[in-house]
Amino acid sequence: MRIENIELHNFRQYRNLQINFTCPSGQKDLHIIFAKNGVGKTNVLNAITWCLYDSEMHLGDKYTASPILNSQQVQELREHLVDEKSTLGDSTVRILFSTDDGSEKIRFQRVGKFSVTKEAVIPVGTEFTIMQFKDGEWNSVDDEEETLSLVKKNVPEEIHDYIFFDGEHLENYFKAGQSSNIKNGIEELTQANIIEKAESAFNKYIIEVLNPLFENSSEKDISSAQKELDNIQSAIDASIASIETFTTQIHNCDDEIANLESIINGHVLVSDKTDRLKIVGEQIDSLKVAIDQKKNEMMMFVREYLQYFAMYPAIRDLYNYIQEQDTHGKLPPRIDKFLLKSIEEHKHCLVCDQDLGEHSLTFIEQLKKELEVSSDTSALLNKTIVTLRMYLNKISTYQKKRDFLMEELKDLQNKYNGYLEEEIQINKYLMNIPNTEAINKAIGQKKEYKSKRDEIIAIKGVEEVHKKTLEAQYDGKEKCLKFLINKNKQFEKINKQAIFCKSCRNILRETRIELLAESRSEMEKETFDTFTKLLWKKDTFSKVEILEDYAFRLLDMYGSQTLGSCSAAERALLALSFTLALQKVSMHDSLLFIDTPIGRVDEDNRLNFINTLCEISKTKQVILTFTPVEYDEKVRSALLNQYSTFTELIIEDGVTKIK
Amino acid sequence: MAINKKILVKIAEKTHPDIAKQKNIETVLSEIEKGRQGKRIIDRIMKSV
Repeated sequence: MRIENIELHNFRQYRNLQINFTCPSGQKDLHIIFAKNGVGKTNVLNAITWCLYDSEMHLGDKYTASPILNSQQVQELREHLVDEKSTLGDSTVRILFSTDDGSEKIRFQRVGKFSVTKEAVIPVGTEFTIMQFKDGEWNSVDDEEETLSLVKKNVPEEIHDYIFFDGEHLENYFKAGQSSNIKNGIEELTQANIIEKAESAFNKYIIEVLNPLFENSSEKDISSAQKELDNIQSAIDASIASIETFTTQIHNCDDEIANLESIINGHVLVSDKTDRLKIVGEQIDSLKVAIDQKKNEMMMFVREYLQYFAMYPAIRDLYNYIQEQDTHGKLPPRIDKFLLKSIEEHKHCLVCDQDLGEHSLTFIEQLKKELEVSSDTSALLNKTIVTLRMYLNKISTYQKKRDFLMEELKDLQNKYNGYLEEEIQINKYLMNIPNTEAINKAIGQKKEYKSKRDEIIAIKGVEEVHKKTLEAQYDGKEKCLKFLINKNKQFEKINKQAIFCKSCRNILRETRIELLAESRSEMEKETFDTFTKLLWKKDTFSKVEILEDYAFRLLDMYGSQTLGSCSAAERALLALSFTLALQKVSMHDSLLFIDTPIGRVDEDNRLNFINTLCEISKTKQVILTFTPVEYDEKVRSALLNQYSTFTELIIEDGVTKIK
Repeated sequence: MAINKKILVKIAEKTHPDIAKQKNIETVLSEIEKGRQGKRIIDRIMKSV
């Protein structure tokens, strides 16, 4: 079905307006509504949902919204209020739907009645009518049941989310906790919800009608066995509910983890980096101190050597002089006083091994006196030369010592520069992350969710074992009850009915489970095929998975969930693909009305997204609304010659008109 | 809106060869789809069981 036109009378800022969505043959069924903010684009969407479902589903805040009745109309009505306390006003929205070939048409009309007083506008009620064009004539559909059925057939309320979108909704479609969207969509369109209702009707009949007949029977055995069975069944139901809750909680954790990963994505090392930054900072501080100490050490070294260098020429000359004098034997001889003393005492020369006479002894006595001075000089010179040599040696080690100190300083400085560079790099890395604190928080939260998930998995395992035990107990008790009932003819009919109801319930349950499993599998395939066909980025994703509790997974080439890290445009495209797949699998072919489709899509992907919508409009009606900001030069040229109708809305004197 | 053919085929397979059961389940589904109470329909069906 497609919308041919919408008529709005006294609906919000619309006085009398008709928007046509004609599509000449061979053209794309693409329609643009263009208007500034506040002119009433979203109210076209609200008018549609109000007309079809008696609810404005895209209002910012329904509690603070003004009345539906046009304010100018209200003013005019109030001007004519003289004696009357109130008067009636009405808002009307008409939507004409038609099949693609135009052979069948259906017109939905809702008239809202309002009581207007000087102070207030009070809704009185609405009238909903449907006209159907079939076999060349228009007929009114009066039967309420048929009216509801026609709405349900063409634009079911439960799936309005899959027909009338707003741009923001598309992006948020698959965010954590949104699986109810998917659940509702699949269950509604596959009619699994009807099967479930039938299944629960049979179950309720067993519990509320048939079982009490056994419980309240005069046969005590049967009565108590039935009561016990009921108790076990309640415990099994509670256990199943708990397991389902745990499964949902696990998938919610998965979704949260995926969302957090999208924040952390590419910045996993942030916490490590922040820790490293601290260490690097400390190293820089301690190296600064070490370098200063080394520089002081060098200053002391230089000062010390400056003195040596100042004295060096004198020391060198004196040393050389003494050495030279020594070489030429000009220095006083070094006489061994002890040797002379020993010779004198023994009166025997230890050198020539001859006894000494009086003359020789006198000579030694004289020599000792003469050489006393020269011997002291010699000792002093020896001492001097040792000291001079020590200084000269020290001076000769200057270069080595200096090089060593320089090397140490250089080494410290290299380390310091290394850490400084690392600090710059880490800061640069952290500066490029929009909000380091948020990322650190996300890393912490991810850890928490992971451990929470592990805990729930463990509890779920315990509950599953408990459920199996209960089921075994139930089987045993049921056999026992069956035996008792079979023995008693009084219960033959009730038993037959119970068996019939249980059989119907089980058949319906099996059918529902099979149907949903098949639909999920078809949806997975269809969504992924559509998504990859429309996606501008190839070879990035490998599969779409819809789990039993409708948790949605988009896997990358390595089988990891990537939904959380997808861009807004990709998420919106995935929601569109899911919608198209759902419409295809359920064979419920509907139009798409998207309010501000690229409002949340980044600039790079806007054209891709627009091209995708153009592609979709080849096979179904697509109505898009744009603000001037979104409808920029690039979008304008991408849509040029693509659309069938372009409606620009303007506001004049508080009333929205077509320009 | 009628009950999806796929569902009807599955129910026919599962109830085969009990046509009465098949028709009864189909009736319950169809009445529920029209927004009617399940209990009343089952009550009616039970009279024939």
